[in-house]
Formats: sequence, structure tokens, C-alpha cells
Amino acid sequence: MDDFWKSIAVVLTSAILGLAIGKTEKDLSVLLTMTTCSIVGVITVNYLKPVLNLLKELTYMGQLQDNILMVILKSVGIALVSEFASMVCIDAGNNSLAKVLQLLGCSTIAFLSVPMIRSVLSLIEEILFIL
Amino acid sequence: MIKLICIFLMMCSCVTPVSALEIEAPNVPQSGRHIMPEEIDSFGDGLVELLNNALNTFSPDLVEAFEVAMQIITVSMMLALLQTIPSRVKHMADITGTAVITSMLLRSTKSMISLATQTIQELSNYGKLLCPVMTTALAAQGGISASTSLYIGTSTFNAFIGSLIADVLVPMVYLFLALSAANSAVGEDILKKLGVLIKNAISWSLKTLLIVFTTYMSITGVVSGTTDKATLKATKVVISSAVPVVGGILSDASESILVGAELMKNAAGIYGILATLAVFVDPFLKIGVRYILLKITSTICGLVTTKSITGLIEDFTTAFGLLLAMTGSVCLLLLISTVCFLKGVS
Repeated sequence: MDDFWKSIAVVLTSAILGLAIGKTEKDLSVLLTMTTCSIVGVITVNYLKPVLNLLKELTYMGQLQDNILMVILKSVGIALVSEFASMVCIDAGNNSLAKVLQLLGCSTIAFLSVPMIRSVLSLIEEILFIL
Repeated sequence: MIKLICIFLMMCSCVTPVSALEIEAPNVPQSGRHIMPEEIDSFGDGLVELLNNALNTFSPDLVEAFEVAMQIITVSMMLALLQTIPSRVKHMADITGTAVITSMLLRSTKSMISLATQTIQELSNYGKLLCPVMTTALAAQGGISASTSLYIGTSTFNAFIGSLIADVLVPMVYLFLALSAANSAVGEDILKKLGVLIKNAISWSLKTLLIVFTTYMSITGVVSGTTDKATLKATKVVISSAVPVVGGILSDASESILVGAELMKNAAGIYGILATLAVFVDPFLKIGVRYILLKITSTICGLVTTKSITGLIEDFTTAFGLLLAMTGSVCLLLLISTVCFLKGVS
């Protein structure tokens, strides 16, 4: 749990620093935010490791296919990364870039989910054929 | 002499083969044969053996249902990681999750719907074979008008409920699931309302049909049973008073014949009930265990994931519930009719 408190301290310090230098050195402030986000992101991934192990166990218990697991994990990862990146862009004052990043995230997830949606559609087709 | 030989030959030509009335229930269909009791000493023992056999054979289904539940919980937990994100990206990932969960559940539901449809068909076909046997048995016992009216009621309702489920209610279940999946992905309130309407229509039609059938059977049983009882009594009185000297003996003998017919009818009826249950119990357990596990899964998922995905899982649970209701209705219809036949003219 030490990492958690350290992360809180880092985030609060960088927020105060960002406020202090943001007026004069905006580029540095954005860089600071990005660095803090990356550090906290790494710590979050460390915390998520046991959760991911649990998910792997559940996957094994449920005999979940690897491709389904990968699609979901990738979608979750892309959603989180694109969201944080777009937030950083908003902080930097680039709203259009933020929107483009969100669009990119949505498109990538849509691209990843095509096989899943196809599988649902083929199931529906099979059902309609039975009916 | 020639005349006597001619008369003898003419009498011989009039001889037709006759035998005692055999009343046997039709053999249990293939799907229920593996759990049907070997010997049926009494209804209670037979039922216990049947349930034991059914419980012994359904562990693979329990494992399969457990696996599906685990898969759904896994995907829901992964999607729970997105709960902090407020933007459209999360919505897109939710749609992917919905597609994955729909695909998993639809696969399981499709096989269960096929199983339920097949069971309903088998029960309906078995009913078509059992009813004439029970009708003959009841008629042999003296319940001529009761057997006719019960047969007409049972066969009509049996055919109607079979067609209704296969042609109308099962497609409605699929429509309900499609609306539910679309609602979970898009979040439109109107889709949810349409789904609820379809669900209510299915349960309402099943309930109404069973109420109408039960009422018909009760009224028919009472009215025609009383008529037959009165006819039997009158016939006995006529025999004992009209035939001189041996009238009383004949009347008593007819009583023992009727008791024999009743015994045969009861044996056939008990076998028929157990055979109906043998066909019904296995699919009921398979669908039932999925229903219960999905209920538990939706409760667990409700703690970690979004309302839309929890709603989707609940809707699939409802679909399993509707399947149970459909299969149960057909089984209940057959059981009620067999019991009405068993009740006979008493």
C-alpha cells in the first residue's frame, strides 16, 4: 500500500507544481502532467497484476477462449489509454486533438470488436434459419 | 345330418378371434429412457428412482453452466475497469462487452431453446399416444362420455399449445433477446419497454391457456363423470332386475370386471405419468440449473459492472425462465389430463 500513498503524494505535488509553473511555463506543466500520469499508470498496472491473475484464473475456470479475452483486454486498455491521453490534450489546451484521440480510441475498439459482432450476427442468422 | 353339418360350418365361419382387452401405456420416448425406472412397484418409488437417475446424469450440464457463468463474470470484471471513464470511448468498449456477453449467452440459450422445443415436441407426441390408451381404459371402466370429452379436450389443447409454442412463443423469446441485446448496446428505453411487453405477452398466454385447460378439465370431469356414474348404476340395476335368477350374479361380475379395468387403467396412467416426467425432468434440470446460475451471476455482476450489462444478463435469465414455463406448461397439461383420466368415473 506504500505505493498508493506515494502516488497520491506525487499527484498532489505535481498538481501544485503545475499550478505554480503553468502560468509561465505551460509546456513544462504539460510535460509534468504526462510524466506523473505515466508514473501513476505504471503503479496502477502493478496493483492490477493480482486482478489480472484472478481474471486469468476465472478464464481458466470458465474455459474462456483466448481471442475473446484478448479482445476485451485490448478494448479496456485502449479505452483507458486513449482517455488519459485525451485528458492530457485537454489540459494542454488542445481540445481538437483530444477529440481526435477519443475518435481513434472508439475506432480501434470498433475494429477490435468486429469479429465479436460478426459472431453474434452469425448466431442470429443461424437462429433465423432455424425459425 | 347334412343340415347339422351345414349349420356347424356356418357357425364356424362366424367365429372371430377375440382376446381380453389389453391396456398398456406407450413406451417412454428415447430421450427419457435412460432415467426411466426399471420396475415400477409404486408411483412414489418410481418417482424417487427417476429423480435419482436424473440427478446422476446431469453433472456435465452443471459444469457447462458454471463455465458460462464464469466467462460472464470474467468479462464483466474486465469491463468494470472502465467504470471511471466518462467518455464515449467507454461506451464503445461497453458495446464490445455487450457483444461478447450476448455471443456467449446466445450460444447457450440457442441450445437450450432447441432442447426445450424438442422436449415440447416429444411430450406432445407422447401425449398423442397416451391419450387414446387412457381413453380406451376409461371407456372400458364405464366412463364413455367422460373419456370422449377428456380426449377431445386433451388432444385439442395439446395440439394447440404445441403449435403456439413452436410457431409463436419461441420466436417471441428470440425477439425478446434481440431487443434486450440492442437495448444493452444502445440504451434506448423504448426497446426495454418492448421487451417487457413481449415477456408479459408470453407469460400471460401460457397462464391463460393453462387456466382455460384446467377449468375445462374440471368441468368436464365433474359433469361427464357424474353422467357416467349414473349410467353405470342404472345399467347394474337393469341387469340385476331384468335377468331372472342370475341377474344379481351378473351385476356383481360386471363390478369385478370394472375393478380389473380400473387397475389396468391405473397402471397405464402411472407409467404414463412417470414417462412424461422422464422426458420432462432432464431438460427441466438442464434449463433450471442455467437459470439459477445466471440469476447468481447477474447478482454478482450487478456489484461490479454497468446496469446495461446486468440488465442484459437478467434478460437472458428471464428467457430461461420463460423456457422453463413453456416446457412446464406442456408437461403440466399432460399430467393434469392423465390424472383426470385416472380419476375416471369415481
